[in-house]
Parts: sequence; C-alpha cells; structure tokens
Amino acid sequence: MSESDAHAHAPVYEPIFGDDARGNGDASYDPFASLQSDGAVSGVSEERRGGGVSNYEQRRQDLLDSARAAQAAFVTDHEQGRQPEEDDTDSEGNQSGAGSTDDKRELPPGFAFPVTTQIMQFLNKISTQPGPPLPGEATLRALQRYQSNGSHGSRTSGASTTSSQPRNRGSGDADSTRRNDEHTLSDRENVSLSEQPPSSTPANTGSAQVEDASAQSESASQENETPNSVTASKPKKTQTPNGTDSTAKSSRKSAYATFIQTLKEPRAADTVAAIKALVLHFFKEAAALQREDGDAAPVWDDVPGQDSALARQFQAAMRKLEAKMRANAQWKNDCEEAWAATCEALEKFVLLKLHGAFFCATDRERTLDQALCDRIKSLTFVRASHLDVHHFGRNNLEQWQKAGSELAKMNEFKSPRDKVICVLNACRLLSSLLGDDGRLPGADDLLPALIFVLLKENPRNVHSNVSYIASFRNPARLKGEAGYFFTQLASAAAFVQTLDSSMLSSVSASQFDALVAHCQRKLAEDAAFSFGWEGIRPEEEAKVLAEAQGVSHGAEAILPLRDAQQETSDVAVGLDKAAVTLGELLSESEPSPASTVEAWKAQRLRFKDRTAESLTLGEVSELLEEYKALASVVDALAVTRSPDSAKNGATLDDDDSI
Amino acid sequence: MSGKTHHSKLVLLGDTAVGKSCLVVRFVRDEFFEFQEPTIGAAFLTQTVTLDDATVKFEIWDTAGQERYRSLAPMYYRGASAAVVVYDMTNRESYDGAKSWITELQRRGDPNVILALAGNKVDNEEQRQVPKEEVQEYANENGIVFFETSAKTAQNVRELFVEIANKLPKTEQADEASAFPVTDDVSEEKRGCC
Repeated sequence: MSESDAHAHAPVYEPIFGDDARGNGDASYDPFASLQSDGAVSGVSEERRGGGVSNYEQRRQDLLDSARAAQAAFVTDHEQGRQPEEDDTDSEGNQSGAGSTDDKRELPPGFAFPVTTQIMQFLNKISTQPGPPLPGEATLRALQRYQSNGSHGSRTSGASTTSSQPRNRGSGDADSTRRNDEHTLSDRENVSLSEQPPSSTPANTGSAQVEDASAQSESASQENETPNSVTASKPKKTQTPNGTDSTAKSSRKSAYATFIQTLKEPRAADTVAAIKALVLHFFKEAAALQREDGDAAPVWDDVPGQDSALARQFQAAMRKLEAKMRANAQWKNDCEEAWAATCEALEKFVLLKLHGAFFCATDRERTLDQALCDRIKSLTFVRASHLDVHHFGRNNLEQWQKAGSELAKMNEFKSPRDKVICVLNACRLLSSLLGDDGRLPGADDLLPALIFVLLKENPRNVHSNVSYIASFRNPARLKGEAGYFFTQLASAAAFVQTLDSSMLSSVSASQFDALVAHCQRKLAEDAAFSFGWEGIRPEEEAKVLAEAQGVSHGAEAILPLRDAQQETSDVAVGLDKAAVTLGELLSESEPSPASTVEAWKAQRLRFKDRTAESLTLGEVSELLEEYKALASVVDALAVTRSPDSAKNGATLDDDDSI
Repeated sequence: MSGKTHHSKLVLLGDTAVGKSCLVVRFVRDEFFEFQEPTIGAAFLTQTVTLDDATVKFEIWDTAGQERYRSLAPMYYRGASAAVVVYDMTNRESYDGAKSWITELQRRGDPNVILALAGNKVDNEEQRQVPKEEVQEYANENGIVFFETSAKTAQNVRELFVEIANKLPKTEQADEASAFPVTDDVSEEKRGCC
C-alpha cells in the first residue's frame, strides 16, 4: 500500500508520529469521545462547578480560541504524516478535554496548571515561523496539538480519524491495531520476546511474516512471531509454560483500548484530570529544560539519561499517579496482572503525549545523536572480521540487515516499551544467527554482533532512544530480559563512541587513523557514502594502509614507490610498477649482481601479475610485507645511488604528509 | 516456606573462552528442563533455585569477555546482587583476569554484591595450571564464594548457584513480581534500574 511505502521512506519524524498512533486507530473512539465529553462534563458533580464557573469558562474560551488558531497554523505547517498523532491525541485528548473541567479541583499536590493564554500565543507565533526547529519547539508543538485537540476534540475527531486510518499500516486493519495493543500490554514477565509491535509494521517486515503474524494474531498463542523468517527451521516454542497465560492474555486483549475506554467513564474523571495535570506539568518542565539546554558532556560508560533530574521527577510522579489510580474504585480490585497491564497502558498513554517533549527534544540530545551518527559514518570501513564477528557472510546478509532494520524501528515507536521490544527483536534475530554446533551464543558473540549491526545500520537517534528509554521506562520494568538487551544496546553505543584501534582486530593505531581519515574524506565528497555491510574492500584497505605506511615510513626515500602507487588505484598494479621501478634501478646500478635481481623476481614479485580482484583477504598482509620489503630495498638502493635524491624524497614526503 | 520469589540479577564476568556461557547453560538447562523458558541465546538466561525458606529466581546477565569490552562492564554489573567471575583452571592468565575482575567489583561495585569465583573446566585436571588451594586461600581472604566447576560434567555447577542463593539477603523488598509500587515509598523502587 502506498501509505505504508510512504511510511517506510518517511523523513525523520514522520514514522514517529505516524506509527505509534496505532494504539488509537479505532474509529469508534470518536462518537464515544464526543458523547463522552458531554457525559463527563455532565457527570461532573456540582461541587466542582461551585468553585468559579465563570473563571473556568473564560479560560476555556481563551484556550479554545488560541488553540484553534494554533492548530490551523500547525496543520498548514506540517505534512500529513503527523496527522495520526492528532488522531491519537484526539481520542485521548477528548478525554482529557472532558476531564479538563476538573483541572482546578483535581490538581495533584505539586502540580501547577501551566498552560496560559500567553503560552498558547507563544505557540502560535512559533509554529508559524518557517525554518529549522527552534529549541523547545518540539515540546511546544506537542503541547499545542495536545491543547487544541483536548479543547475541541469532537471537532477534529472525524477528520483526523479518516485521514489516519489508511496510514496505520499496509494491512491497515483494526486487527493488527488491536493486536499491537495486546502485544504492547502483555504482562511484564513476558515483556521479553512474546510481543512484537514491530511485526505488525509492514515497512520492514517480509510479507510472509506479516501474514504469519496475522494468522496468529487472533489466537491467544504466545508464539514467537517476529524472527519467524529466521528461525523457521527451529521448532516453535510456547512462550510461557504456565497455563494461566492464555486466559490472562485474552483478558488483557487490547488492554490499551480497554484502558482508554475506562478513562472515558465519568467516574474516571478524576484520573483523567490527574493524568492531564501530569502531562501538562512535564510539558512545562521539558520546555524549561530545553531552554536551558544542559551542556554536560556525555558519559559513555553509563546509560545516558538514567539519572537525569527530569527522569527522576517523572518516575516519581508516575508512581504517585499509579498509587492514586490503584486506590480508585475502578482499579482497586484488579489482580496484579491486570493492574500491571493498566500501568503499561498508562505509561504508554502518558508518553505518547509527552514523546514530543521528551524524545530528542534538546539541542544537546540532537548534538549527541549527530555525533554518534557521524562517528559511525567515519567507521564505515569496519568489517565483521575487525570485530571478530564470525557468523556474518553473504549467505546470511539479509538476516543481518533485517536485524538492523529491527533496531532502526525503534524510531517508529513512541512508547519506551515498544522501543525496547524493537531492541529485543533485533537481539533475538542476531542470536539466531550466531549459534553454531548447538552451542548457544553468549554475550561474547552477541555484543560484537550488535555493535557490528549498529555500525552498519547506523539508525537515527540512537543516543536519544537510549536516553529516552532509560529515563521514561518504568525502571521496575526495565529489568530482566528487556533490561539486559537494552543494556546491550546502550553499551554497544558507548563502545562505538569510544572505539579506537585497540578495540579492533588486526588494525594498528596508525592504520585505524588512516582508515578513519579515508572514510571522512569520502564522506566529505559524498555525505551518503558508506562501505555498506561488507566494509571496506580489501584492496582499498590495503591501498589506504600502504599509503599510511608510506607516511609513517617518513623520510626514507620510498619516493619512487609512492609515486608509482599514487598513479594507480590498486596495490597490485602499484607494486607491479614499483617492481619495474626497482628493476630499472637495479639494471642501472652496476654493482648489483644480476642474480640478485633474479632472486628478487622469483621471490618477491609473485604478486606482479595478479589483479586486485584475485587477491584474497589473507594475502593482503602478505602483500603488505612484500611491499615493505621492496620499499626497504629501494630505500637502501636509493641511498647508495644518490643521497641527494633521498633527501629530496624526504622533503617531499613531509610535505605530502602535511 | 515463605513462598516468595526473590529476583536476583546475577552478572557473569570473566575472560572470553573460559566457558562462562557453557557454565550458565549447564545450570539453566540441567534442572527443571520441562519448565525451561524458550531462549535462543545464552546471553540472558533465568533459572530458579528453590531453597528451604525461599525461592530465588536468577536473572543471569552474561558479559562479553573480550578485553576490548571491559570498560562496558559497569553498565552490566550495576544493580546486580551477585557476580560470578569465571576463570579457566587450565589457564593461568584467565585466573589473573578473574582476580582483576574481583578487584574491580570490590572497588566499583555495590559493596553488598555477593561475589563468587568459578574455576571452570575442572574435568580437565591433567592440564591444571591454577592450584585449588591458592584460589581457596584468595577466596577466603576476600570472602568470596568459590567452586571449581565443570560445565561439561555439571560438577559443582548447581552447588555454586545454590550457595549464592543461600547468601543472598532475603529481607529486602525482594519480590519483584509485585514490584508495582502501589504505595508511596517508591524511592527505592526506582533506583534499581538495570
């Protein structure tokens, strides 16, 4: 479907705003929502209204007006790709709108109601300005969307629903939407591997897999879906052995939708108001943070974001909100499992709204993302062998790439949990590629493989994703398997950032520098340059290294060789010419016995007639040795013949290296 | 029998090729196979140990043993309640590596973490390079659980983990299954990430 294609090649922010809205793709929200809006208002008890209706009405009117203007500006300002989020915000926003009557009364302690007309006006101003995003703009836009939808959700609901519905997925069906919810809200013990929101995304999944997933979607089975294409040969395994699972599963089917539905009930008005207050509070916090824009240097030996003040504050507020909800009659009697699902839904609900404010929202985050991305680009020469990744080859290239795209799917999801599942899926795929002889791959195999995938895939916003997950995923849920594989990603990113020659196999410091410089040169010519999954070609690497070797040899007259090399594009030919040069040198130098030349030709020139294509990787080091040997002979000969030329060579060489 | 399940994050350290993964696979696969949760890799595994008075569910975090990944280890052992450092008793160097891991854990890790040394490949006695007495002495000095194990024959594998389970404190807010902070005292809860 064209929609899904568009989605697959979407620009930076599009998938983010597009896909995660799937949780709310249900059109039935809208009529309910508008009814509910009224219902909630009428359901609000008199006592609330007792306090200052006119005040409230006044403010509401203000909000409505400015929000309308803001939304108009927003819609003209943005591509359609962001619409679904409006839909998403809409159905929920309606709720919040309904609950907004509670604002004054129900603010939890410590939460101020930050949105004023001034802010809205500020939003309008910002959103109509063209050009690159300003710091804080993401937050403010999100706030703006949130406000506008929340204030008059019933107006926008119809339109946005229809516009978003086809975008959801290629298969575009409500089934997969629901299935996603259900995956998304499965119980935390199975956070692990049973759920694959990504598998319902057509963009990166093979069609067979999508079908497979669909086939299973209605059954309550907990089978591993995502890596099917890879692990087809392995027997399917049932995820959880205990029998309670399937019943539990069906009961929490579309738990997110259930949660949203619950929020629409009049008695949930308090909760909705509390949620809304929390969301608004953190909009403000995040916006303030963006203006300050911390300048601390990144610490790469720890998970970024984990201990940020904002994260701590957010987690504390969430725990408080959860406690408050748990005490509410609606959830009081839920079993632990149902309650856990509710908390998952709550986290998703809140973070769908706050994603724009929290995710990659500061200049610092963007800078770090870009730094990591650039770093990875400059390491594009890295081959699997450099990282001792032994299970990579042409025959399974596709599966490796698939693992990479699974990882990149992080950017298509907004809730931290869904992002974690993308990481899990990537790691699962990798694990299935790594085992041999029945031996299960451990971290010794997995981490290098993940680093390799990270280097080759170079997904966007890795730093931001890691930081976002660490900050805003409930820490109690970021344990166990999810926590482990998340740590794998975080440490892989840290490794890449600090990578130097000592961390790659068979690359010396000078060689590493030369290769990085080579990549950077190529990148300067073409920003999209990459050596791809196979890394630098051996002959190209050899050439770069040979040149670097020449530089490091420094002053000692290997000038003829270097000249010869620079004329050619590959080492074999370069050596060939060098050999000719040597031959000429030798033939001109009388004292040299002919037998020496013959011995050289026999021993040393065995690469003479080889082509670059016929060289194997194993021969590169041999070739380099030959080259060095030749160079030293030439060196010796040149010095004997003409000390002056040697000196010239030295000067030129130095100039060259500068 | 308290019936409570204590979740314990156990991190596995040691040079590459000492058999870390094999050791833990042996532990996880050997027992209760029928309840085995499906897994593809051995990087993360779980296994439950039932004691007289409690049940401990180990969440075992494998780490990459290659030297180049050494600086990443703190991300893994952060928040762990136990660490098993594995060496290969047929390889002196791996024992030196194990001792440096212990030193690092003592210096940088949580002081309450239970440390254990596992001298693996004890089935290969004729190639022994590290005398048991030497390690035992070191372990005693440092208050470390020590077993010579064999992933091949399963010798002492379960014993090692049971001993760790025994030493784990069972009093703290141990039940992660009810980790959902329903009450207000959430400050503890939120610290334990990773």
